[in-house]
This record gives sequence, structure tokens and C-alpha cells, in this order.
Amino acid sequence: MKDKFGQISAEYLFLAGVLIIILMISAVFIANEMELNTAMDAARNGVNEGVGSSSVSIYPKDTFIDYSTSKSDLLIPYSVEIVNITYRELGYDNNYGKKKIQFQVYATSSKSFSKKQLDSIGDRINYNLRKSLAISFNSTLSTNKLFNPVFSSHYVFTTANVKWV
Amino acid sequence: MDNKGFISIEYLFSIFVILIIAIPLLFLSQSAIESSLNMEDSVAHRLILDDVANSISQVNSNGEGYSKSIKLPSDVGYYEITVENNKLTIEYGNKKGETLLSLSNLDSNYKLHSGASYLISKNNDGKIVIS
Repeated sequence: MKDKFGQISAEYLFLAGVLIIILMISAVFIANEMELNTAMDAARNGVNEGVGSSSVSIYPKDTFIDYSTSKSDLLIPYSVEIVNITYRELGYDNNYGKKKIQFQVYATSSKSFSKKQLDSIGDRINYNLRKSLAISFNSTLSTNKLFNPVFSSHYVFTTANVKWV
Repeated sequence: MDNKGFISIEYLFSIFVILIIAIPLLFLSQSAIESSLNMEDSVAHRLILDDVANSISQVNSNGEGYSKSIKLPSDVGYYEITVENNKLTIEYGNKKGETLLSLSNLDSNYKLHSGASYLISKNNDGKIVIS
């Protein structure tokens, strides 16, 4: 009677056991890699939003007031192109107990802007990048108003100044 | 007992794996959706602003007595457009944007509100009036 119910071969059990052990060992590496992939995806999303806000030139009120006093060129829509987004590991951060990752955005602009104006555009791109990371890792509560730095389970993210090429 | 709602361990295991993969992606999608909605909103307001600026320029470039009526869309929420001689400013929520306008004959500064209809006309003195 018993033979009718749930028979499973010893080979299958052994194989499943070995697979589970391999999976458990590699899970740590997979999780870390997945976290970095998610971070890169989120960074690209954020950068796109930052660039998009340049092409429509609609800003939060305080930014608008700041720009209208000294950087009025930024109030007219202009085009910024992203050349590349990279990140590099900066080692282990003892303060936070996580690995440090720094994002670097390379961009080019259709118009010639002053150094100050380029800095403002770069800051907004980086702000949107970090904001997107914070939302993607559900860590908006553990960071500050400027989302600097942003945390995930295993990493702490910062951004380097945008390089204009 | 075996007849009542039992579920295979493989099924439970695959659901568990799918959940582990899907949960982080949910937050990523939330961020992506949020940023596209933001962009959509900004673009919609920029288009409205440019549309009003074009209408005013069109009336200005025509002769006295020319008029054009516009209806400001209300499907993107409440916003306010301020018309001045040299610029048009749109304000909504916590956001603001402007477009340049080179008029010297605007009757006075105006505030236009979403959902309302306006008539832009050039009167006999050559002044642009919005009513």
C-alpha cells in the first residue's frame, strides 16, 4: 500500500541535496552581484530623470529661484547626453560596515555652459541618481535629504562629480 | 487527509525563489515608474507653457484686431501661468518653469489658471490683451 504514495529515488534526493548546498553557497555571491546590477539599473533610471529635467527645464521652486538669480541659462530647455555611467569599489567602509561604491557619470552638453552651470547640472544628475538608488533599495528613511550616501544591504553608494567630455 | 488541499514541496520552493527575486525588482520598478511619471508631468506642463507662448506670439505677429482663443487643459492638475512682457512662468505643485517671450506691448501682467478659457487679442492701440 505504502508504495503508492510519494516515492522518490535516493539518487534524486542526493542530487537535490547537492544542488541546494551549491545554491546556498553561491547565494551570497549571487545576492551581491544582483544588488550591484539593481544599483546600476537604478542609477541609469535616475540619470535619465536628471537629464530629462534638463530638456524640459521644469525645476522644484527653490532650484528655480536659485537658477533665476545666477544661472538663468539653465531655465531654457537644453540637451545633455550621457556618454557613460560607471562605478568603482572604494573598499570597505568601517563606519557603515559595508562596501563603498562610487558612481561616475560622463556627460556632454549641446551648449557651452560655465563651470558653475555645469556643476549645477551635474549635481542634479547625481541627486536623481542617488534618489533612484534610495527608492530602489527602499532605504529613503536611512539617508539624508540629499540622499548622500545611499545604503543597500551590502553597499554604501556615493557619486563623484559628473565629468564633462 | 491526502484529498484535502495539499501542495507539493517543489511548488512551494519555486514560489519562494520567485518571491526572493521579485521583491527587490518591485522597488526598482517603483523607482522607474515614479521617474517616468515625473517626467511625463514635467513634459506635459512644458508643452502647455510653450503652447500658450506660441499663441501669444502668433497674436502679436498679426495685425490689430486679431484674436485667438485658448483653453488651458485641466487634465494634468492645477497650475497657474503668469504672463509678463519678457517671460511666461508656469507654477504647479512645488515646481516651476519659464519660457522667454519678447513682447513690449503687453497690456498688463496676467495670471492664467488651468481649465479656464481665454481670448488673446491685439487691440486697436496695438496692445496684447488677455481676457
